[in-house]
Amino acid sequence: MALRFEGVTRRFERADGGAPFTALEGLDLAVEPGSFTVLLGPSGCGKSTLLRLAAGLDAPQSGRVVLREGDRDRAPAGGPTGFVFQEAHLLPWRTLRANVALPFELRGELRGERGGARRLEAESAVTDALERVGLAAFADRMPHELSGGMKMRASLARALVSNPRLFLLDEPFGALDELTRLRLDDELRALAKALRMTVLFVTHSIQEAAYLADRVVVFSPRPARIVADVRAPLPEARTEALRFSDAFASFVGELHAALVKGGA
Amino acid sequence: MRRAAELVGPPLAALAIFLGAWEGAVRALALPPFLLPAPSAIGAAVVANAELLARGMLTTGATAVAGFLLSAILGNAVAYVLGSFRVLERALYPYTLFLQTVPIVTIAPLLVLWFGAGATAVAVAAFIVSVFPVITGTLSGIRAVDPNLRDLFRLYGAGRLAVLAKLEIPAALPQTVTGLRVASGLAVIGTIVGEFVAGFADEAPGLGIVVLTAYRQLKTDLLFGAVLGSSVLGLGLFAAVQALGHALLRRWHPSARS
Repeated sequence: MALRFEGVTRRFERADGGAPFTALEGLDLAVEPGSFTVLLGPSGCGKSTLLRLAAGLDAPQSGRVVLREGDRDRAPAGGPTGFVFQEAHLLPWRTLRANVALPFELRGELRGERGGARRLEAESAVTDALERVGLAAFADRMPHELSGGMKMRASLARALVSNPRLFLLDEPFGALDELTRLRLDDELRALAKALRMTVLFVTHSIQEAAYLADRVVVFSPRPARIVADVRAPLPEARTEALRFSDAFASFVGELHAALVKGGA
Repeated sequence: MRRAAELVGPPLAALAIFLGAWEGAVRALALPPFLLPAPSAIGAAVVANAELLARGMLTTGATAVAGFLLSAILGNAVAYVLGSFRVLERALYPYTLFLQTVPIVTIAPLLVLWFGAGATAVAVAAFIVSVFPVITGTLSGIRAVDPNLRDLFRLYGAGRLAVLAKLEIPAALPQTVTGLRVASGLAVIGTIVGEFVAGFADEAPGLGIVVLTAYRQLKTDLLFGAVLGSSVLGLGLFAAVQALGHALLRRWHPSARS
């Protein structure tokens, strides 16, 4: 699924009546289908706003956001889009299995005449998603019984369960310890490539951006302007060893320079 | 077994010392029994009036439970409606404060006019006194739902009813239980005050009437017995709500896990 931002402007009124601020102004950006694109920029620059617009959770004051599926354009809202937040945001009163099944329930896909057959399909999709993130053995646990990394994996499973073509992630692993985060980065990229999803990944970590991306878009502080748009000069398969290679180091250096030049 | 003894022992010992001192003081100072009866005299009065007190507890207990259930059902229904429509909340919430601040004794005569003296008027009094904490508890729980979870539900196209049933009601449940706990004690208080004004027509007089009668006849020992009975009722209702809350929240909420 391709995604285009065309001259998108989003301003916010302040709740306390202060001067409104502009998160995005006349932003143009096109994302190719099946690509892993990382949005890199300082905290609070407007990257998260960009994701919310792509998910249809928010609308721009001017310009438009278009999803292109096959040869048809459509608005962002309502499609099977996966969204992962900065924290896992599981429902604490549900088991992992019931949490991952939530998207099916809310879309109302389990009711009606074919409800029975759909229910079976949904159940196996939930089991598959949990297996894919390595949580099959924990399906009947409650969220509070799991570590932070496992909760985040469950959150990924919930986002993946409805087989989204567009996968949006907003600094998803920022609250995790370093090793867990590196492991989840690996798993995420492998999943994205295996499922051929279009991924938009927001982070403020240069290392993470360099490791994950096919393409890195670097933003300035608010209002977000694109200060660099770089294709990763790295092989398609990312491995542990890559993190210590010269090519990786020079790519990190390049991104760092772009951020500094942008005024971050 | 030993833990139970450690738990129950100290308060029991404190009670024994307190009652002993009370008994001793009353005897030594030869206080008139209508001022302060000795614990032994109270005990004797409770035994002598066991049937009157038991019937009183039954009447008062049933009315308090009715008032409490009314609060639990209507209070939560109001909270769900106010929580769903911001405009309604703005328009109506200030008036729910009225329920919190109005002294029930001033309303009770009105209730007698509307419902006639008897259990209905008393139950409505218990309802008015106990509904406010249920509304605020549940409403603040709904207001505190994580905006990211709301976004998640929106992303998956959840309708208004799905948001209420699958997100707001369960997320607000801990605050709902807190509201109900407060309401359980208030319902018993509201019932007894209601009985002072509207309880004289009940077939079996409630504890409020027992208190009034004992007071007029200066049967202070029986009055103490009625006080004891009403606190047993309050504790019983509180414990029932506590157990229900624990059963509902045990699997996931920290307040019920320790």
